[in-house]
Amino acid sequence: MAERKLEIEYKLFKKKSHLAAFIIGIILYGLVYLTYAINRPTMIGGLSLPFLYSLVLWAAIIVLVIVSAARIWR
Amino acid sequence: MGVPTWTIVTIIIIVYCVLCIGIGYIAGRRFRKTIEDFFVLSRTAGFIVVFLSIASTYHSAFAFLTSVAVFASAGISFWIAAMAWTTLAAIWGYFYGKRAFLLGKAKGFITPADMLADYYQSEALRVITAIIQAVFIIAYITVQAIGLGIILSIASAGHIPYTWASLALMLVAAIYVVIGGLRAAYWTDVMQGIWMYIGVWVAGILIALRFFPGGVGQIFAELHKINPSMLVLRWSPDLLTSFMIVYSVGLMLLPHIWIKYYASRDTWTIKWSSVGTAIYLSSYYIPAALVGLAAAVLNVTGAPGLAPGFIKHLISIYGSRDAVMAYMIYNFTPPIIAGFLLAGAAAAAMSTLDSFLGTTSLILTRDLYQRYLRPKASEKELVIVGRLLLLAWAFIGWYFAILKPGLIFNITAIACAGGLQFLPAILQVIIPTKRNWVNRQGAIAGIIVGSIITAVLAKQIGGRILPISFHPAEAGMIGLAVNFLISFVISAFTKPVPKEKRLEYYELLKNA
Repeated sequence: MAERKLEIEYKLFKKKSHLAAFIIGIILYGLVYLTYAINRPTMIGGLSLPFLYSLVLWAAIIVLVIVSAARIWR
Repeated sequence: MGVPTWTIVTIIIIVYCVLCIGIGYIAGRRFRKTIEDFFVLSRTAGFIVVFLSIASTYHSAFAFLTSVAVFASAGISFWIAAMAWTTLAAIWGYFYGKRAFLLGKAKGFITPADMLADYYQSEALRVITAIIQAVFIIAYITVQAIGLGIILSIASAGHIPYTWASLALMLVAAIYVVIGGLRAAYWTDVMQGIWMYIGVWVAGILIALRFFPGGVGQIFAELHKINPSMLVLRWSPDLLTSFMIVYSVGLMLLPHIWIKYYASRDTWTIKWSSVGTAIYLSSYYIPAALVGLAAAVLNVTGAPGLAPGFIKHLISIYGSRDAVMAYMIYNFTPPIIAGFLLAGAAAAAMSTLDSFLGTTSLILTRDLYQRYLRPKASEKELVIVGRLLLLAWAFIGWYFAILKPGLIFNITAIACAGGLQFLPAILQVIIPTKRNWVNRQGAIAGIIVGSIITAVLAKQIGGRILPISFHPAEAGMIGLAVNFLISFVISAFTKPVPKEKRLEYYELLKNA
């Protein structure tokens, strides 16, 4: 009985929204590495492409954190 | 004849120091003479205190000084990595901090070693944790001592030499923690957290606009002409990954942040502190980027009052380019504003230093002195011993700082890489899974071997004698990989943590 109760790994994502937020988070941090694919000093709107891309990524991560805290995190 | 600039700037920093000591004194008067109150505020810290103390403790001389220095040499690479590691730190802080809080509150933990020793039922692990954390912390204390030396030395235009400038401000931080315990550190962190955030934004805007009225676009355009490689990601994927993990999870596992979760009032506080921390930590690097990238341009072109190659000149004086931010603030903002901004820089360093000094004395006092040397020591005696150890660690950090060991960015990584070595053991505690991945023997072997590998492979330590060496962040990742492997393999062949203990932790954490 005690052994069966020790299954916290199944409780980490017991709601679909938890799993969704986790997967989105993994994707966003994975996208940091996409910078290497666009890694050239092309200027867009006065900023370099990699810098602009990282700004967008950063904003997306911050939005994810705020939404997660408001809706998902206990 | 007017008052010299250095006098105005130095006086403002002195006023700031007096303010810190005053807050320490008030905090000390509210001190209840118990070790729990001295170190974790009797577990009553609310949102503002937890948020700003975590944020300001996380950001140190690293954020105010070395970030600008690295922007000036590596360009936007720093932003790409830093926006990732600061947000990741906050997310990890929520995931881990909430669990640490629940365990700490239920079981009365005060130090990080309390948690590990209890779960793994090992006094040896307690001692090992205390010693390894206290040793790696020295690197972080050293970093703040370097930063404080640079700040006051530049603020006084060299009238107070780097060595004594560092000691003076180190002692200020030590004094207010001695007087008021970590309560003083928490309270001053609130003030310092606000001060340094406003300071870095004001400095960034004033300095950038002074030289580049066209703003960010002009800085990028100039860089594009001079050195376009500054506008791309120059760090290799393995270095980027190492920085992202070491400066987030590694840093958050250092005891000065760890115990702030014990001090929290409730899980709501931790959740929203994590949100605030993510925004605060990452946005802090935007103005730092402005100054750093501007410095990169000016280092080539020069400007009135700023000779081309000025960064090389600063390296010759301070042993690294960490002085760029303080130098530009002092020389290119009005004296009164420079005083406030450099006090903000000192706040960044002191808000981290105070927590480190406090937690080091806590670890050594509670985990070693009280447990093994004087088990029957009174609370009063423990507080006195804690204060003496605090001063001792301050002097050790200062000693290494006067050796000018190099760029703060790299020295900080040594401490964070050390913190990272606790990850395998911690994961098993905060996620009490059905399968026992790590047990006592595995945790002890993993932490020891991981820490040794980190130190041996780090350029600044083992790299001095070995033919092969790595950036400390990479060394930390190699140490972590070996650490995981050893923890799992040894645990697979030795006795698991008793089921009753795992069930106890499961019950405490199942709704986390």
